[in-house]
Amino acid sequence: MLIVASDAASAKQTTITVVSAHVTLLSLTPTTVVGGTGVTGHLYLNVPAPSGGFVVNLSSQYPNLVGVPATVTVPAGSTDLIFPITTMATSGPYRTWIKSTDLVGSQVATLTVLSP
Amino acid sequence: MRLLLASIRLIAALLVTGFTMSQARSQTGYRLLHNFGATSSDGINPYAGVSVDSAGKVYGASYSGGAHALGMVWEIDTAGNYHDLHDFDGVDGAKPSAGVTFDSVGNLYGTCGASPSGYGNVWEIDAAGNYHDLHDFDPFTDGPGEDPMAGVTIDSAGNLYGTCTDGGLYSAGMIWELDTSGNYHDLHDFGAGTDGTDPKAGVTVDSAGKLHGTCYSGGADSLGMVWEIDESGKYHDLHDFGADTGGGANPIAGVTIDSAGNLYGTCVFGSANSESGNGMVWQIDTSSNYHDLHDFFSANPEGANPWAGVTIDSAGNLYGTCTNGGTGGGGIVWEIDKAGSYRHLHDFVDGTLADGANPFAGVTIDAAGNLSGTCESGGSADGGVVWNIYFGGPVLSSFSTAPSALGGSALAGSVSLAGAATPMDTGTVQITSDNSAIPSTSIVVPGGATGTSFALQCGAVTSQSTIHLTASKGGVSKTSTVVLYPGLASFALSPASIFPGEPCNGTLTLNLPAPAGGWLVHLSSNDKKVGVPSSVTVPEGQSAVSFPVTVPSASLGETAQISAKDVDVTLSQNLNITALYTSAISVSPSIISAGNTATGTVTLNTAAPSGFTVNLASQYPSYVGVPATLTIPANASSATFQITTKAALVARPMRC
Repeated sequence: MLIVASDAASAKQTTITVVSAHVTLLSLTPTTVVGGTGVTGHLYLNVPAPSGGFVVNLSSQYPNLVGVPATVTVPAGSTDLIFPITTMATSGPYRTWIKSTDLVGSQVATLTVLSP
Repeated sequence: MRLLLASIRLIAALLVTGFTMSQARSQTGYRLLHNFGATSSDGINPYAGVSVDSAGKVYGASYSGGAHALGMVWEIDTAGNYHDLHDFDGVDGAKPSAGVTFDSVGNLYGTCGASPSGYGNVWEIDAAGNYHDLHDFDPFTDGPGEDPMAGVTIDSAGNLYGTCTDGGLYSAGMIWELDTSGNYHDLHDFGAGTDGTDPKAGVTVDSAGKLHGTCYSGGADSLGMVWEIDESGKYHDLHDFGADTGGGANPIAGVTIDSAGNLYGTCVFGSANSESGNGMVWQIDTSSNYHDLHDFFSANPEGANPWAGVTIDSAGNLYGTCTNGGTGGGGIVWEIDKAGSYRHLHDFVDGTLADGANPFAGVTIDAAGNLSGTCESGGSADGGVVWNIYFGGPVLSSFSTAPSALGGSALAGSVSLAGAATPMDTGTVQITSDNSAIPSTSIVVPGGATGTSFALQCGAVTSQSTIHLTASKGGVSKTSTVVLYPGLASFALSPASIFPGEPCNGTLTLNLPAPAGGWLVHLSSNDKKVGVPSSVTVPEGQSAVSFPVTVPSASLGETAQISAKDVDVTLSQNLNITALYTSAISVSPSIISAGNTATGTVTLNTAAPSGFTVNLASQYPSYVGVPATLTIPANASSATFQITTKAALVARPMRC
């Protein structure tokens, strides 16, 4: 997007790129856990969150097995956010996913939950 | 008797000009004052000479021409303008062969050879210009006398005298007088015995009241004679012309008397030399001795046949004319100086319209000592001329000029003469210069004036020049030193360096205050964008003037040359125009998320001398906002502004 400065003798222009903030990466640590153990989620934005923060919706494939906050807000100026994920004890191993959703799209991360 | 007469002549008064010669004269020029016959009403064929009054006006009569083709009386004023004073109509007179005589109050007198009576008349034009017929010659009603060929002579009492070529008691001519009461008297009748006959010349009156004259024929040898009437009215035969009495024959002209009382005259024929016979100049000295002063030879070629008599200046130089002969064949003007040396002052050229020819009249000397007379024929209309030989007239008395002037301007000056210039004296002052920037020239003092002011046009000079001027007239020279300066002394621009749009003034200064009319200076710029007036004028009396120089705001950096040119020099000055413009714009960060703000920076090429405003614009102002303008403070070269974006209105990154 051009911005132009001009006077009687000359005109000069420059370009500014304006982008919408969105999640570029959702990662989990660890990616395999024994049920009942906590997991850390990490969101990365493409640009610093705008003023007022940037809200990201989270969802889990098996909410009863893997619990995530419904939304998280990346603080203004921040480009990432860490959020907690809970797991429940289970009988078998389950491979499940966690998804972040914003105005641009979604990011998915997989998590394996093992039996004790 | 002649010894007695000679002794009387010793006390005779000078009857010629009062001009005083103080040094040898050298002729400086010849000119024609009037060409007769250029118009149908002008006079033609003047047989008579000219008379010059005390004011310098020249008078005469023409035998033919005029409104009635019967002759007229004319005047040339002191400015050289010709005037017709009277046209003879045949009733008031006709065919004047004689000239004009003045009295002491400015009345003019003359004669006509024809009149209402048929025998001629005596006329007067009074000082108011009114014409009067004073006497008609009529042998049957008014006493003897017919056909006056000569003019009028006035004595100190105001009596008029003259002769008639015919009539009288013996039908051989006579001498007449009109007294102050207008009474006509017959003073002498020619033709008795060996007396003279046919007096073609008039009367000369000396200071004692004696009358003198000649007869064309008669006398002891029938070849003419010289006569005198003394104070008592007694008539005397002074000389009879003939081969046995010293030569000479048939005098047409009368007698001239010098300050010593010697008599002079001419004979139209005869001479002492038997090979001649073309006339001669004679003198009868105060001892009554007859002398042949000069014989005219036709073979030289010299002049021949002097109809006119002798004119004498107060230095004793004699002047006269010959009707024929000379190198041009049209007659001559001659001079016999006091030492007896003879020379031609002018040879009239016959057969050309560029000069007069055949002078029947003699020479008149004006107050300045210049000579004039008439020719019966020749001139541009072949109707005769009034000629003038000038010797310089009054000498130069003073000469002054302004001490300085601008090249190309007019240099004021003045000259004055020791006396009044007359039409006979061109009054010309020669001015010579040692520098062509003021060319040598001549200044004419108008007739009747003793001086004049003038303006000399100076040429251009590129540097200060000191010029020496010398004015000369009549052998007297005066000098004046003039310093000529170029008009423009300096040219300045203030300021000499500007930013576009800033005001600038040029100032021109002259070396001297501007002369009358002001001083014009042309202006130009080698840069069309830099505006100057096409010209400015330094007002009269002022030494400087200013003018605006305009430089548009959009100008880029450059150097313009402004030039000022007058008639002398061209001066130039450079105007340095320092560019001031937006050299860069940047944003930080260059990538921002919608809804965030960025900072823009505008940078100038140099620090602004005062607040400098830059216009700002966004490609998509709905999404990215910028202020409309940004003012960069004085002495700063950059300033920042905020860029705002609309939050989250796009779904994808947007790079424009």
